[in-house]
Amino acid sequence: MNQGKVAGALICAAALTLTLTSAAFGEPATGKPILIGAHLDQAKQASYYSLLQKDSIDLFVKEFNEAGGVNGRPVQVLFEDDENNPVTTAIKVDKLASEGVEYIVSIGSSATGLATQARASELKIPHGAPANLAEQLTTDPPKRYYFRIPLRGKYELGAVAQYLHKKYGAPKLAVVRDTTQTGLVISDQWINDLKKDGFNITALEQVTPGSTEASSQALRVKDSGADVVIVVGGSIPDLANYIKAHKLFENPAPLIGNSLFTAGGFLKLAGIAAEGFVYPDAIDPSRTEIQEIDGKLVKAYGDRLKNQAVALQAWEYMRVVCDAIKRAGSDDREKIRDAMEATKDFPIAIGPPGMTLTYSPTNHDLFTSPDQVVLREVRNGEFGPPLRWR
Amino acid sequence: MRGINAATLPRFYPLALVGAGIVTMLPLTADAYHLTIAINLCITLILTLSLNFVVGNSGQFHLSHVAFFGTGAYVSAILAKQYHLSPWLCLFCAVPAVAMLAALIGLPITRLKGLYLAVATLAFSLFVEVLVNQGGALTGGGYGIQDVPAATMFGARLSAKSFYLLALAALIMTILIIKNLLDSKFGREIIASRDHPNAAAAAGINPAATKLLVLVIAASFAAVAGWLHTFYYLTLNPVVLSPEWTFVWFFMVLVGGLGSITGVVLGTMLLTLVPELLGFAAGQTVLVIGILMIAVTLFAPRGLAGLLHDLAKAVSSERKGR
Amino acid sequence: MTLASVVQVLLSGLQIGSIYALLALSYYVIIIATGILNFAQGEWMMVSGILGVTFLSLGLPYSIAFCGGIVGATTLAIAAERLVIRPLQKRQASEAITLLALFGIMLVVRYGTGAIHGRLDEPLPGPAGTHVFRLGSNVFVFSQSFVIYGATAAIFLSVVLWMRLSWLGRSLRITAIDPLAAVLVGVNLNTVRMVAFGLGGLIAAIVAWLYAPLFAVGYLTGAIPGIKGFIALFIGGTSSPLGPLVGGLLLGVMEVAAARYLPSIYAEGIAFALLMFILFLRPSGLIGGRRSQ
Repeated sequence: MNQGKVAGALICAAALTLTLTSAAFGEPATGKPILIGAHLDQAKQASYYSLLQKDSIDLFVKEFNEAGGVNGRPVQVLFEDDENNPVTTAIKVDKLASEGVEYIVSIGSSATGLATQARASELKIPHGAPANLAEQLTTDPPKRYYFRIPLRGKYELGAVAQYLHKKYGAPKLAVVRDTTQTGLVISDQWINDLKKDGFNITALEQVTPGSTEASSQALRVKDSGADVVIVVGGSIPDLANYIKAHKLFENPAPLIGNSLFTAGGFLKLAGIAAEGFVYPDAIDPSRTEIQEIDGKLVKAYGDRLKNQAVALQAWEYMRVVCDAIKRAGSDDREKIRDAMEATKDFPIAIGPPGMTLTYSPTNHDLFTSPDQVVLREVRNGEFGPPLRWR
Repeated sequence: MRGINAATLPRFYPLALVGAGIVTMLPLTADAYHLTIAINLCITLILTLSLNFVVGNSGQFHLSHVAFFGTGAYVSAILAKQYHLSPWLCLFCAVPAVAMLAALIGLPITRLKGLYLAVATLAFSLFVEVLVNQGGALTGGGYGIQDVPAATMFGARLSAKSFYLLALAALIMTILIIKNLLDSKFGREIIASRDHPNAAAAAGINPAATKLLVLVIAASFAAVAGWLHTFYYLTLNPVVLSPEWTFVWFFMVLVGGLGSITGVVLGTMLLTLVPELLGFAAGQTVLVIGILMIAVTLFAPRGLAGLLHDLAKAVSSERKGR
Repeated sequence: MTLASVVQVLLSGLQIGSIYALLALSYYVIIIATGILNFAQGEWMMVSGILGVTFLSLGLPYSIAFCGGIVGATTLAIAAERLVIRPLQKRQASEAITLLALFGIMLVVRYGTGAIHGRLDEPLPGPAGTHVFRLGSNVFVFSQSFVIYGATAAIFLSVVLWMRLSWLGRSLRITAIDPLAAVLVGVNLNTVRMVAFGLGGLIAAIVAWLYAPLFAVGYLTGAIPGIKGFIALFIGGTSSPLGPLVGGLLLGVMEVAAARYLPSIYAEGIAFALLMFILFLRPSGLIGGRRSQ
């Protein structure tokens, strides 16, 4: 190897190092920014809903800062990739903590949200999630530093159970789930509660992420004679595969899912197989507040962000957090936590008309009853209006 | 491939040693995040050094390293959590278990070479991943295993800083053991079995047995790394068994220079720190690693050690006025 | 285990098996001519699908999207050969280095596409729509299935004939048997390698249009079929084109049968277990015999 090649290699290495380190230089700040940390799945199964929430947060923060931020100080969100892996999540929480964030927002899957809850609680940093559904996130009493606004697994399940009883009486159920960690966490709770409610589960099928086979599951579900099929989990593409197979093999049993299916891409992936799919939602599309936020998101990002529940929830969540920081009047994490817990009668666009957010030392959730859960149906290739069945 | 070792870089060696000494003590002053990075680095180094031992020094194209790591980690976790064994005892159970697994898998494939060996070991690695994912209550399946009981010393839970020292000690022992093995008669047998198996057999060495022993030793180190991983993070996930890891470690070995201990250390450190340097572009880490893989294979196939070696030669030939 | 379910398993198994067989074939043409196992084959399939989706979303007619996707992916495959593999071969780089470079290409194509195109999966319509036919009361066949069976037969036949009758094809076969003799007879190894990679890329690119309509296409779509492809190849053996065909079909049927009748632990692992079984006992594959490389 001659000197020319050695020199060339050194130049390449230098150029590479420069490029990489320059990526670490941020933009100049206009005032001392308020740092909020966020972790998301950039590339794996949860990236579907992670990236929608990130886009929404970016737009909200931009608008918020243009309107003056928190007393003139801009809000800056530091995003970290959690790779949909709880171990990586814990490391990233440490990283965000060392960078001095005052609040951590979880916009990844529920599994990573649980990991953040464990770690951020230890570090005494207020944190929470706009769209993590797992029931385990809510404890009695609630974890001191954790605050969230999405539908709780318990309530969306409760609403679906009410609907099943009202519409079908005592149907035989089949449950189909994916085997991601989030999928297992959420579906295990659904299965437990459905059994407790007296439903007979005649089949339980799993779809493995990336697998090429959903026809076997569809055929076994058909053989089991279930009246209604519940599709629940954490990974949309895999469950969409099942739904397509279900319809291809002409299984007449109606399909009901969890609120995961409101995230992007489901309708495109499942195509006409999604028609008639019933699912719980935190969003009532008839509310003007929702239509306003939706309009802003579509204007900035196009139809990709139209009618996306997780994006709308992320927007509202950031609004709540920024408001709490304003009320805290300080960068101190404890004061921000106290301000969050003191949130009272805060009007919020999530949920049914007139919904307000009130936290207390015994409640860190927005939803407090299954009656606040909206059930919607996919109609004509769109997320349809709420079903009036109560 | 000849090893390029510290003896060929006499000028840098003492300086590097001092530098290494300072650098290894730094993490003790850092916060939780940087301590985690340092511990990760130690664990990865144990893995790449042992992989280098098998693939570089012994010429066996084994792609199942991550299976040994993962099995060591899972066995440790299961024994500690479900059978309530002391974490220290788990170490002495996990390592022999993985060693036996390596012997089991090494035996049937002694005849295979090159591509066939690579594919067979890759298939084994994928198979282990599937087994763990479908392991139900035993392995936790997709859930993984949470809340593994922590290791204690003198009654108190091992702190992160103490754990770092533990990982560092394990790493230093790994380096010393491998280096001593390579310098010994056994080391010469390893090289002979790799480069001239027929001549070696004629001289009374059993190349197949030698290679199997190398595999078992390397797998044992991987098991130790798995144990460290389990008792630091106290939670396991099947992601830890993804065969892609073997390729990443293999790349670190190659970037450093196949067969060279110093090179492997440098290569591993460089590639572990790449995601840190990337900062905001971290989402594209894998893409950058892919680009680096192509660039290194095209422009620097003998890795950093090769580059340094040539740099040293170039500098010394300049001095001699050639 | 009714007759209907066995027939269904066979039909579904042969369907996915045909796709594995074609992918195995794409690995086959490259490995016999060059001895290289090209990890990136699955990615060429993915690129073909993604390009197709992109062209369709731009409003181009189906046939243009189809050709565009295939031509694009094949070009990429040939580019990879010329830019990366050829310099490595010239330098007589070791197998390890070549494999690593191919792994790097796989990562770059996969995650590069993810960065450029985005992370979401998209549906790709098949050439024949989604009509369902019923045999008896419980067996379903889809219009796409016929496309798959037909395409597989056609492609295998074409490749076999091409390797026997055309000059380039025969050069490939001679190189597979004995590279030195091939050079003596005037075969340009560089050209053969490029043709092999190009043909492999072409086959994989066509597979996208058979596979994607069943599922969807996204930047991760090439990962698992890519692995199954070379597993099928090694199960069947590399001594003749029959190897990838038998290996692929067998793998497909066994996977579907296992998924249908056994608990999922067996279904998932069966591909790898089968491969290890074969490699331990009969490394030359099921259709063993004289190995060409």
